Amino acid sequence: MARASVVGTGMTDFGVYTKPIAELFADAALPAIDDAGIANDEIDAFYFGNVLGGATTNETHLAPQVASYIGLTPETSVQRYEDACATGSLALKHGVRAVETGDHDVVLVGGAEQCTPKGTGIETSEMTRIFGSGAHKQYEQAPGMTTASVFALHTQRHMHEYGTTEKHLAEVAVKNHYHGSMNSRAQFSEEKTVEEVLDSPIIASPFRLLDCCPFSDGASAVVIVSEDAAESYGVDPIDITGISHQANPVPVADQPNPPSTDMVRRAAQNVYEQADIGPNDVDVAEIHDCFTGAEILALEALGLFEDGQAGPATTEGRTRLDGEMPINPSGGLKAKGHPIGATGTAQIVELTEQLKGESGDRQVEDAKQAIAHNVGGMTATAVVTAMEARA
Amino acid sequence: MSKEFTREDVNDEQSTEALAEMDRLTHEKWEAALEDGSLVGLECEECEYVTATPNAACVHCGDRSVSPVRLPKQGSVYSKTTIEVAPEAQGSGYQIALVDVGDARVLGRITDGERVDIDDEVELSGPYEYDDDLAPLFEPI
Ligand SMILES: CC(C)(COP(=O)(O)OP(=O)(O)OC[C@H]1O[C@@H](n2cnc3c(N)ncnc32)[C@H](O)[C@@H]1OP(=O)(O)O)[C@@H](O)C(=O)NCCC(=O)NCCS
Ligand SMILES: [Zn+2]
Repeated sequence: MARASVVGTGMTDFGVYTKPIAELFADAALPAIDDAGIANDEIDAFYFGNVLGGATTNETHLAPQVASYIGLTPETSVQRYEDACATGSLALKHGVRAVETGDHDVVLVGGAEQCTPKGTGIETSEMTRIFGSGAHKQYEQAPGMTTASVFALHTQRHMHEYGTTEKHLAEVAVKNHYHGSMNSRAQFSEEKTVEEVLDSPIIASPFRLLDCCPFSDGASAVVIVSEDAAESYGVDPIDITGISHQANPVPVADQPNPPSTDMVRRAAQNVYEQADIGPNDVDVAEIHDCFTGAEILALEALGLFEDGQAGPATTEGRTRLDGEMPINPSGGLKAKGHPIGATGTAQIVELTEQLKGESGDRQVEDAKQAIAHNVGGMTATAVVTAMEARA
Repeated sequence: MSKEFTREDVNDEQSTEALAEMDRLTHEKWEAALEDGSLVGLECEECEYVTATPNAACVHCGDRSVSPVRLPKQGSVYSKTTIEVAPEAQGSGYQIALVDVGDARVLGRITDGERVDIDDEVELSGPYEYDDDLAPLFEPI
């Protein structure tokens, strides 16, 4: 039983944009609407994700503004969501519920974000401060925690407990840059070597520049409808068979066994139950690799590899496109880019194309079952989504 | 009856009773304690979880019967990272660490110029101030 079906997708290239955010979002939304073969007045609701507009461009009430620009009728129910880097997936969760319950028939879900220093005119250290707004002001920001450093704390402990090495981490970056080199929408198109990663400057140890996702601008969108209605759209629908959103305590000091990312474990278990699959059934996954260590933690929390095994598995090539468990064929956040409010639905765009067999050079063979993993804030929330191709 | 919690209470090592009877542990009281060289946390009467920072209820089980407890000033490093890219006012090349203090864990700043590793013993060396907030500062023993 599907909870909802994807009938249209669109996304911009990820990179640097200075245009107004509504124009940026239109470049993802209009192609998604066209892909679904629907007219604007058929869209009942619009679930929009944006995180930093208030801090970067002094824009907050974006849903009606963006809806107006892309020509949604005033009768459309519009809303904006925020869940730090899991924003797009949170919007998706609500869209799925709306079509599942019959509240709405056709829902446009998407996100747009502008956070490059070049696109916003905000320099790196100030953007780092703004990204830190997802952290607890008194008990995380005050001592000096940043987005990179929270994943660094988890990863350092993981290295201590399991023997994960900086080279394992570098292999994640090399693999995702390799995948990204086949994705014309990716921010970075060049392949990187382990040596290049290990020679790049430290951002928050053990992470170096090339262990980090970049600051990115971009947008993504999907059109979802109920499972039953999907056939009538004349396109190959891809089913969303499960979606689960779970939280972890804040501040990070109160999270149980930090490197476990416990909220991901709960979300994964919940999603596997909803979709009636297990980790062994997954053919391809888009993972929230904001930092290389985050991919290692995720592979284990999702049950795709045993605890402590994700580093060696990466080095052995098991997560490459031609490996047994291809991870981040899009290039991931690392190479494709991470315009934070747009990332969740961008993962869905990639997986929809993978499950339709439309991914060209980076197509995962015979992909039938997929999962997306999107983490928000200082490992404080996660959304895991399961998707399936129709037989 | 709970009584007003004062700075003297935190300073007075004997005043465990005063701590136990204090009103909800607010950030202001937590900071006042820190300023006077003391870390105060909360222990849950229901599940015994101990946290190192204020909450209105237990972060583990949700029960509201949480009582202030004084945490040890010495602890051991659970994890650490050295940060090079940070908000300008934080500087760069500093360490933060998750420090196990008794039954609780707290995120702290490491004294400038010092380097700690996992399992190293550290001691509270005062408050660190950023943007009008105080955070625990630790130094290696
Ligand atoms: C790592 C980081 C601090 C670099 O800052 P920045 O302002 O992008 O750095 P610069 O613009 O000085 O980049 C220096 C060079 O490295 C390249 N580069 C920047 N980030 C890169 C990355 N993540 N991967 C590969 N190359 C990168 C740039 O293209 C630039 O190359 P150029 O000089 O040839 O143009 C920043 O990208 C960052 O904080 N990333 C993490 C974002 C984040 O936390 N997201 C949320 C996670 S949940
Ligand atoms: Zn409790």
